[in-house]
Amino acid sequence: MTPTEDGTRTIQVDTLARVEGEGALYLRIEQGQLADLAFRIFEPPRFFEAFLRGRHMGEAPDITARICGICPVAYQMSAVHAIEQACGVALGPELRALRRLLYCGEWIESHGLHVYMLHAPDFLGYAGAVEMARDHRGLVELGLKLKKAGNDIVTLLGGREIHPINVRLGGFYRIPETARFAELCEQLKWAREAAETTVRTVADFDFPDFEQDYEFVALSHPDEYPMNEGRIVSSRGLDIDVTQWPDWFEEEHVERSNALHCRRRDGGHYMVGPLARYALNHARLGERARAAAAAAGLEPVCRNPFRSIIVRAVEMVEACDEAIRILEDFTPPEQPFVEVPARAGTGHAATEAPRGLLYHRYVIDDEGLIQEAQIVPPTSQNQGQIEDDLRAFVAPRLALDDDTLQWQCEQSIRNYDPCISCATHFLRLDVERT
Amino acid sequence: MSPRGPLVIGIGHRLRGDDALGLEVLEALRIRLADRPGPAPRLRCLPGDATGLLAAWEGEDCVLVIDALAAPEAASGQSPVWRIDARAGALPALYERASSHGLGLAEAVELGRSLERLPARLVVFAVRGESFGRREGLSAAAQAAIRPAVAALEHELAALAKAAA
Repeated sequence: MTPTEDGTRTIQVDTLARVEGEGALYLRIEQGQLADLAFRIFEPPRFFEAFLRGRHMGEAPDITARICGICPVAYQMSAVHAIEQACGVALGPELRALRRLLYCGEWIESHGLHVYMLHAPDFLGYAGAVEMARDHRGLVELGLKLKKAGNDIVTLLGGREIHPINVRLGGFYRIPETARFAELCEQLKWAREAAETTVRTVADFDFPDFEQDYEFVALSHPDEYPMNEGRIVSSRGLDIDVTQWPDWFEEEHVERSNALHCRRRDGGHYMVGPLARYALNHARLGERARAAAAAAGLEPVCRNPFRSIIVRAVEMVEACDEAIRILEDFTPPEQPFVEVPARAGTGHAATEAPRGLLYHRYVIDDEGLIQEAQIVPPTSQNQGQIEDDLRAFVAPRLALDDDTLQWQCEQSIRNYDPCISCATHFLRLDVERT
Repeated sequence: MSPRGPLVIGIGHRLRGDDALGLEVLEALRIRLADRPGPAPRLRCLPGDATGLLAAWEGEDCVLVIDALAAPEAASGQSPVWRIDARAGALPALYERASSHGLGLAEAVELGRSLERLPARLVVFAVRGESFGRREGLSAAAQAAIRPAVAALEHELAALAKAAA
């Protein structure tokens, strides 16, 4: 657009999701300088926190699974771990391995969706996956097949591919038949190679020269790439137990938004997600994932958010590799679950959703009724950092026309794979002239 | 048509108000068909994401999809049920803002077309809702739309059965 005579232009993107009012991006440019920027989204977990109050703790896995169609396992895992912690219950290694296998499935399907259907079109110059599929059919077919491998793990363990119903406090309702493990293992060996191909493919994309000095925050576990367990660590020296999350982080209400933004109590914004996980846990990656990263020229720490697509592909290699290992080493547990007797108390848990650290806290009474629930999704934690990225990325690009600027803002947002990212291909741009 | 007969898919989210219409219509259809003699069509509930729909369509000849539509009356006509032949072309533009499934039905249809993965017959029954907030239960208008939606589906299924006979 052409700026007004006083050099002011306002770009307001009213709809970041397909249901109106879900999100918005607002830019005001005065005299060629960025005067204001606000990114806001509606956060479903706020609704679910209220919805959980008064419900029995045993319902939490099924209710929280409905928060997100892409990462229901993450919400289930953080919920069951937090409630089990409140009740003083720990699972044996067999059930623990099955939970990790389930999480591998979700990483593969979520990363597969984002890499191929949502993020790749940005780099190949398409409005979305539909348009990309017309010219890059093989690429989209590969992405769909890779994603299906993840879906099949979730279906096997969760009972169905979306909103799994087989997860319960203390484990699972039933243990899947091991007869299907060999077939799934073969499928995952194909998927692992496909993920390695994906790393090579996406590493060849052109990336903007853009790096930020992030504070990365992720789980860290001494023996494995983190999914279900670990301490919360940061690239600036934080190292705390998950129960201390409220002591170090806070959610603040931001003007013009019904969303809560997170920040360090003693500092600023921070980043969770694949870049953070990778930077803080590179040494725990398996041999194949580390080799794939190295061959793609990915350093152990990556500060360019656009290159997160490579990191997601590396994490798909890791998830496939880990799933194969678990399937090959699997020993059935004696029982599909351990009892979780209700006990009044507060439980905390953080697990690594595909999009980053997902913190849950529950206050439970002695009958097992949930008195209070707090759910802090990765997108909420990243929201301040997304705005910081947008400010830094947009500032030298303000001379671009509105369409190009909007396109680049969308890309910058999509780097984080926020829960709304699938909808940001459908941005509607309103321009106010003052 | 495949010997398995048509697959009927209802899509939606039960915690998003009228977005559950696809699931409720499917349930009402299930009850209507329960006492009928002969093979019943296969009924399936899905959340409605594009990749899940593409996987569900794989190997199917005939698929009917029921989904909620957030559209003004003027856009979709007086009837609360809109029959769309998805093989004939892209879903109408207003359908892009129909529901909360992200990469959803409209994208699944176009991806399927590009990848030559569409069933030979793919018909969408879009049922108009009016309230898609975060809550359980349908609005009165959406509840009233269930009966005509089921009738439209029964009509379609009867026509398919007649053609196959």
